[in-house]
Amino acid sequence: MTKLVRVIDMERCMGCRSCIAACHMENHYTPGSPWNEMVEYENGTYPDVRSIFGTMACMHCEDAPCQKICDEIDVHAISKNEYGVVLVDYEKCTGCGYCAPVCPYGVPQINKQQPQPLYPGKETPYEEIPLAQRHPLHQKKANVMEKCTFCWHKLEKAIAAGEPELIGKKPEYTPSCDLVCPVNARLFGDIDQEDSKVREYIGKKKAAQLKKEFGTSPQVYYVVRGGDF
Amino acid sequence: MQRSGFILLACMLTSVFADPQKSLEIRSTEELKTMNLARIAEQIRNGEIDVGKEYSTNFKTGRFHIIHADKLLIDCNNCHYGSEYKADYQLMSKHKPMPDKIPGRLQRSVCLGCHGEGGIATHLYGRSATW
Repeated sequence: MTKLVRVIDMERCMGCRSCIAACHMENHYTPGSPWNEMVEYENGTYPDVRSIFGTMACMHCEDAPCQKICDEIDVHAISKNEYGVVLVDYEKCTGCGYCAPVCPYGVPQINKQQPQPLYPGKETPYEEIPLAQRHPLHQKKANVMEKCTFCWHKLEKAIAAGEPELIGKKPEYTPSCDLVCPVNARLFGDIDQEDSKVREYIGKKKAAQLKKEFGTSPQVYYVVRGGDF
Repeated sequence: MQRSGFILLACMLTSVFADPQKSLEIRSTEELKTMNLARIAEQIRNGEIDVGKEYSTNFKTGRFHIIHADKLLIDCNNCHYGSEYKADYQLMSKHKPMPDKIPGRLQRSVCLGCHGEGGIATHLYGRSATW
């Protein structure tokens, strides 16, 4: 059994936003509908004040409420695969927006407009790739829900090559945001592998899931700085 | 026969010794409100109450707001509050500009009241959800 999880260490994160830039590049960022966002705040009282940084993307919940509501209204656009990755089928999504209010983490992004170019008048190399040649998860269109996919287009390469055990170990099989962190505040891998780094890190640093009261069992763990939240 | 007689006797004794003041007190407050909501929710699920067929969050024509605001009479302020979140509120879309005509931010913990396990509404949140 494979269960892919991410660990974000807020004690190490310095808010450089490299992970956000990497996600934008890798996943054909749609302005207004980010897949990865920085949540930043300060705590403490002067002069003992600290900035807290943490990035948020889809938590790929084991009991995903977005999937439940999508099935409940008979749309079935959201699915969770055997690796624990929650994915959206853009062809089935009706853009009803039900998934957005039920997500405790505010993840689903409903893009109401046709994706616009990043720099009006000229296209970046990523935008020059024709829509039909992109991975299905990057063939974005207006009025559908989009969100982080754990870079499924990279993970499925590992599965196709028969090397799922190398997910999170080889760069080409690892989500881009987790690769670029300059302070190693992000880890990705299979929590069910006995020798996995994520498993060890979660235990060692007491990483926890956010908003446990919703009981969705998210697959992203945080080493929380500045108390629980 | 003997068993049913015993159950009948037990029921009679319970009703005689039950505190009428206490049961009246419970029913007159939150429980009564919840029972009423549960009844309406059941009627919506059975199709006895028409809430339209448009699955959307449009506040005039979509089922989402017709069910919650129009039929269940949940006040806007129960879910939409204030103009911004607390600084340490962990929500990915908290920096997104507010859409027009939305009276404040959406407080998600309100959903747990009915949509958690054992709640009166469609079960959306998992086993460990508290409500």
